[in-house]
Amino acid sequence: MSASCEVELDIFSGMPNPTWILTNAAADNFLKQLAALPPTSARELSGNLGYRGFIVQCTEGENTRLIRVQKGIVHISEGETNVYAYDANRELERWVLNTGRSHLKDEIYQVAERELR
Amino acid sequence: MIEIELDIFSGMPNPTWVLSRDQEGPLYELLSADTKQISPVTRLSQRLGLGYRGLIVRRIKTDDGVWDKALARRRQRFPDEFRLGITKAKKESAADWLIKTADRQGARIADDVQEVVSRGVVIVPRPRGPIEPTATIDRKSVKQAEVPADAPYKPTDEEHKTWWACGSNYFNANAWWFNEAAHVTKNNCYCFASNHRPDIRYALPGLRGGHPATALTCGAVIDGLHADGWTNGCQPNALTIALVIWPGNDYHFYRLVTGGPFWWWGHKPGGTPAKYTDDCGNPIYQYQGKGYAPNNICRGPYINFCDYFYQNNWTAFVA
Repeated sequence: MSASCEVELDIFSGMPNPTWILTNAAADNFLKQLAALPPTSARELSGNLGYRGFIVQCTEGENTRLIRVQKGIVHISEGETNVYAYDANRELERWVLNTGRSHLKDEIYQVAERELR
Repeated sequence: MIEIELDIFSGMPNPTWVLSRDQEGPLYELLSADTKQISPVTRLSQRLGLGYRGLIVRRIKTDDGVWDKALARRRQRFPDEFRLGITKAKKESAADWLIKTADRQGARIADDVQEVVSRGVVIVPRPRGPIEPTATIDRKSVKQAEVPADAPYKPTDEEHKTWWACGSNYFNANAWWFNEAAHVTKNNCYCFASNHRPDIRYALPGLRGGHPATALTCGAVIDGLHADGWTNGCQPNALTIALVIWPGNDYHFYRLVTGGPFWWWGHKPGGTPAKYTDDCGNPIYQYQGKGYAPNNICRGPYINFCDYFYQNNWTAFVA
């Protein structure tokens, strides 16, 4: 069964963040990339104003995984389990942003894109 | 019986292991030879960053083991809990020895964790000041920011350029309450500002009052605030908040959480934890216009400062 993944660009404070659904092929691709990331130690994610990375929620059958992708760190939580992985050169983060190109206002896309340069 | 905790993780549990009876003796000898390796558990706790923060040694049970016997025999007494690895050992380091012998006790320390440990404890730079309202502040050390912080006006003042110290403001530095695990991701900046924890992730000014903000401009969000019961002037027992705008995209709020002389403010960026510092690490308090207030802190893209608002409730309900 293929997974379904919803992406949230974590950028606003008051208003709802922009969200979009990955296509089946993109969701599979995302999970493959995720599985290939090397593990790293736990760390705190940033809570600043403006761009704070992505929150991806993937559902596969009865399992739901919440994945936060932020500044080279990926935090994967599934139930009580928390795992951290390292996103070298922020490649996964950039890839996720690209999937949102057609869903995001130009200005918002550029804010995120600038952060990833 | 001695337990060792490798203090390294932030979200996950730290690795722990119990020393064998045979290991208690060498540890005691290493420490007795150089007691300066021992630090209190909480020493420097504000300055130990993310990553390796040393080892915590904990006497978890009294027994007839080598450690307890040694303690009973000699004058040298060690606390029941202490930290190792912060200060350098003169000769052989007890912390290094414990790490080396950890796998014998079944502690599995992953290679990348070992690598972090091998680089030693990192002390983060001293913060540029206190980071929460309970801190003691030296008034003379409060720095003048480039733009002066908005200082409060007394209710009797005629001029009103900043915000009113209303005489009966309601204060509550309760970031911790919004940061409880079950709620932190479910409440936004407006919930924190209103001191209301309804678990509404996207509370919107004006929704509760029947006139939700129609655009992301100061004017439109202010209309929403007015509908929700916020006013521009003092009220008895009032919450005090400040509104800022990322033009066309979003709003953000700060809430006054303590009274004078420092007038701390707090805020909660979206679903992330509430805090009393800004995006540059500055603590949001001021002393007679020196220091920081919502008007002169780092606010990222929220460049428009709108105004201050008041409501006579310890909780201003949102929706």
